[in-house]
Amino acid sequence: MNYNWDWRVFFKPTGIGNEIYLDWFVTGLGWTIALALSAWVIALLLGSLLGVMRTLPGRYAARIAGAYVELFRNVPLLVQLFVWYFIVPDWLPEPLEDWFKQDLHPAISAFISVTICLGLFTAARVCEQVRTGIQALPRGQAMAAYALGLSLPQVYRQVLLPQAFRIIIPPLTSEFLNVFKNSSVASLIGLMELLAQTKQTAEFTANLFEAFTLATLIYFTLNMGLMLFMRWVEKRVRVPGLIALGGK
Amino acid sequence: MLNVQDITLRYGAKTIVEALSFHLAEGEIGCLLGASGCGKTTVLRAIAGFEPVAHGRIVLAGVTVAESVASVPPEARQIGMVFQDYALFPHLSIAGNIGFGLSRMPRAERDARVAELLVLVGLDGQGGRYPHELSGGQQQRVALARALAPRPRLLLLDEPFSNLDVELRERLAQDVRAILKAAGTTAVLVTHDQHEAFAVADMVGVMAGGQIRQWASPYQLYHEPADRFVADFIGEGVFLPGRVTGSQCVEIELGQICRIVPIHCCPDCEVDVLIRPDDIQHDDASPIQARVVAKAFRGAEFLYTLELASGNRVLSLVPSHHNHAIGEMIGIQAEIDHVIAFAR
Repeated sequence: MNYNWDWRVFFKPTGIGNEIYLDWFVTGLGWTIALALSAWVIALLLGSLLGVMRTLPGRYAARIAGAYVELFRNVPLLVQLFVWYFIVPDWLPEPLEDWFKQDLHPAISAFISVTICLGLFTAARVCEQVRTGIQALPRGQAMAAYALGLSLPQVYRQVLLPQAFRIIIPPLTSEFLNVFKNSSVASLIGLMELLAQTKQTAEFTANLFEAFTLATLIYFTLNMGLMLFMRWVEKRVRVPGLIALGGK
Repeated sequence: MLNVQDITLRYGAKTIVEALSFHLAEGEIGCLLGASGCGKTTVLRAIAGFEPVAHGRIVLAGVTVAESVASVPPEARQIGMVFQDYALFPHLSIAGNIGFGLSRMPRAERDARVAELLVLVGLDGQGGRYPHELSGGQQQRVALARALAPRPRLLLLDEPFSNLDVELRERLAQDVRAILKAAGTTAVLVTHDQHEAFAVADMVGVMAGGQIRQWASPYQLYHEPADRFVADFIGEGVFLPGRVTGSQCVEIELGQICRIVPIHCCPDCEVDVLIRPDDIQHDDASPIQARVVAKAFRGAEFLYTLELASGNRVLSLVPSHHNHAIGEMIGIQAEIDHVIAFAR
């Protein structure tokens, strides 16, 4: 293979303003992080709520949450994104539709669509993890708390959730990293996040290999850092013997 | 104080407990004793409010807490519960666990109550430790303290000692009784172990097939069992055939025993007489001889299985310095204070 590697390409001017190509990557990384974190907030809050619903004694709450999980887990992420970006806005009431399609900056409307899409998609997965975390706890934990006079919300807040979340930190970490990786679908609706910037750099400079090598390194480093951070969190909140207690 | 009236409990179509009743006075400790699957834990959960009552009702301190039509939720019943696996909250310290049910108390008062309970269960000064740092016996004490902290009207204990080793179990059973009596707590214990039941409870209900066969003091259960099942279930013993020879006497292979024969035996009836191991005494001078067919060394005594001339077998507890070989003939005598006989 005759390819001339040229790593200096990132410091060459793009010809647009005073920017060099590296600036594009920095901007892309910024979008990726903003996107993933916003989606994660939605996923964690909604997913926890749904996960709790799936374990409630009443039948209806559990069924609603169950139906949600099936719907969002069984449709490919990309299809969901196109629905949120191309179809859902058409269903909005007219003033809202006009505002979304015309008044908003295209980057912002794309950002909103991807955030909602990724947040709701990941919520279904977080839901299942929260549910298993709660169900892994011995039945006596909830009974002991009720017998001590706690109401249902108090039992979840003070006994079940603090333990369930500790148990599910490892799978939750994978989900957290997945949000960062999945955020790359945004490039398909024109949001200039990391992957889109990489493709653009590759097209502008023809230095395809350098661009994608750098993108790979950035994704890898970012996820590695997040993983180490989550491992630190896990260690901080760890309660010895908790996981061994589960299932008794 | 606690009045369980005629309750029936079901899982779906399956009846677990049928028309069960018992009563506990204030400060009394009751026990439901039975093999696993007899429904005892289900009764406990119904009292706590975790199982609905299909029929009958449960009255606690004059208030009906469970009926087929309506029930008070568990959190409003002011009942403490101690579980088989302790169910301590692993993410909270010992003090946090004990103070858990006291969230409505002012802080200073709560701390004082927690300290008081730590002393009561013998874990003074250990409030800052975590459940996983404690031994099984200590965890069980914490579970007891946590359940007692809000001063429950009733304490329920579900097989509280079964995860402990035997030696600890006996000591803790006595401790628990002392702690409950010191606190004046009314309590219901559920267990399959009669030694535990006898060590802790004032009143014991022997359960089988979802019903209480007899509700009585441990002494009565042992010496005046209401039916064959209870006689068999409680303690050791065998039945020997006999004949009632008057309202005072019964004749068995080991001679005539004159005590009050239970009234459900008619005169001249053929009966089965329960012979406990402590009823048969070793006596070298006795004319009645029996052959040793098996023996179990229990430290202070031997439990001998003896074969009588008729081929019937009885058990006998003999001080362990009387060491006889299997196959040897030894003299025995029946010393029966409580005649337990059932018509055949």
